[in-house]
Amino acid sequence: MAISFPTSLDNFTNPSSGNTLDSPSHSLQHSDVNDAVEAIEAKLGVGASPAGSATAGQVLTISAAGTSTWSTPNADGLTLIKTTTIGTTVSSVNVDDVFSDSYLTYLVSITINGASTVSALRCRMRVSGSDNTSSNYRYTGEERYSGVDTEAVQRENPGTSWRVGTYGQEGTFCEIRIDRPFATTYTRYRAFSTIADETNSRTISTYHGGSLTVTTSYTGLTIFPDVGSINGGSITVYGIRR
Amino acid sequence: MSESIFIQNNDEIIELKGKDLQAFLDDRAEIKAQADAVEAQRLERATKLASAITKLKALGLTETEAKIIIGIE
Repeated sequence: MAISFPTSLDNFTNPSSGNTLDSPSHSLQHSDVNDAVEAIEAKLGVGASPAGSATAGQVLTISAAGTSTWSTPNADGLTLIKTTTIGTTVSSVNVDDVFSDSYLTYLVSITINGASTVSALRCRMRVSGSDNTSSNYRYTGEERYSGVDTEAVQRENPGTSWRVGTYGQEGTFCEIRIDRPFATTYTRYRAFSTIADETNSRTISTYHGGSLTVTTSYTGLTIFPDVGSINGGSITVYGIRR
Repeated sequence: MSESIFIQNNDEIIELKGKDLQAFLDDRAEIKAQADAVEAQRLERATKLASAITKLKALGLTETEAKIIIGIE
C-alpha cells in the first residue's frame, strides 16, 4: 500500500510471529516504512540541532526554506513592566524606570478608586527623577457626558502637561498609549478615560491625543489630578512587543 | 490653604510642606490658568460665531447657510 502521510495518518499492518514473508508482504513493509520516514524527514526539514541542544520552551521553527531549528518563540502582546499602587489622598504619583529601549510603545492602565472632585487627569514625562514641567506638551481632545449631547473640547498648544482624561469621586478608568517615550524623538500619546460620576448622576467619557515639542528620552511619567487628590487604585505599565 | 499635601514617588508617600508645598500649588495654579485661558478663548469664539449666525439669519439666510458662509459647516 502507499502511505498517506502527510495528508493523513497511516495505519500500517504489523506482522505477527506466525506470518510468512509474503503476507503481509515483507517488501511492502519496508517500502511503507521507507516512504513514511522520508515523508517525516521532508516535514521536519534538514538541520543538525537535536532536541537535546534546545532549551526549555523552545520550539522547532523553519529558519530557511526546508531547514528547521530550535528557537525561542517571540512572546506576543503585552509585557508587564511595573504596577504602582496609588496611595491614600495623594496629589501626584511618579512612576520611574518603566521606559527603555526594550519597547517602542507602552500601555499605561490606570484605575483610581476615588477622588476629591471631578476634574482633569494629567500626565508629565519624567527622566532622572524629575518631571518635564516646561511648556512642551501639545494635546487636543474632548469630554462627553451621558446626560447631554454636548461635548467639551480641550486643548493646549503648548501647555506644561498632557491631559489624559477626567477623574471623579466614584472611580476612574484611564488607558494611555505612549509611543516612543525612550527614543530621542517627539513622543506622542493617545488616551481614553471613563469615570463613574454618580454624584452628578452621569458618566463622563474622554479621549485625548498629543505630542511633545522636544525629543528628550524619558524613563518614567507622573500622573496627577489638576486639583485636589486621588485616592487608591493602581497604575500599571505594559510594554507592547514590537 | 492646606498646611500639607501628599504626593507619591513610586511606592513612597511624601508629605509636602512649606516652600515645597507652595511650589507645588503654584505649579497647579499655572496649569489651571492655562486650561482656563484656552476655555475662555473657546467660549469667546463660540459667542462670536453665534452672534454672526444670528446676524446672517436676520438677513434671511437659514442657519445652515449661515454656517456654510462662516465656514463651520
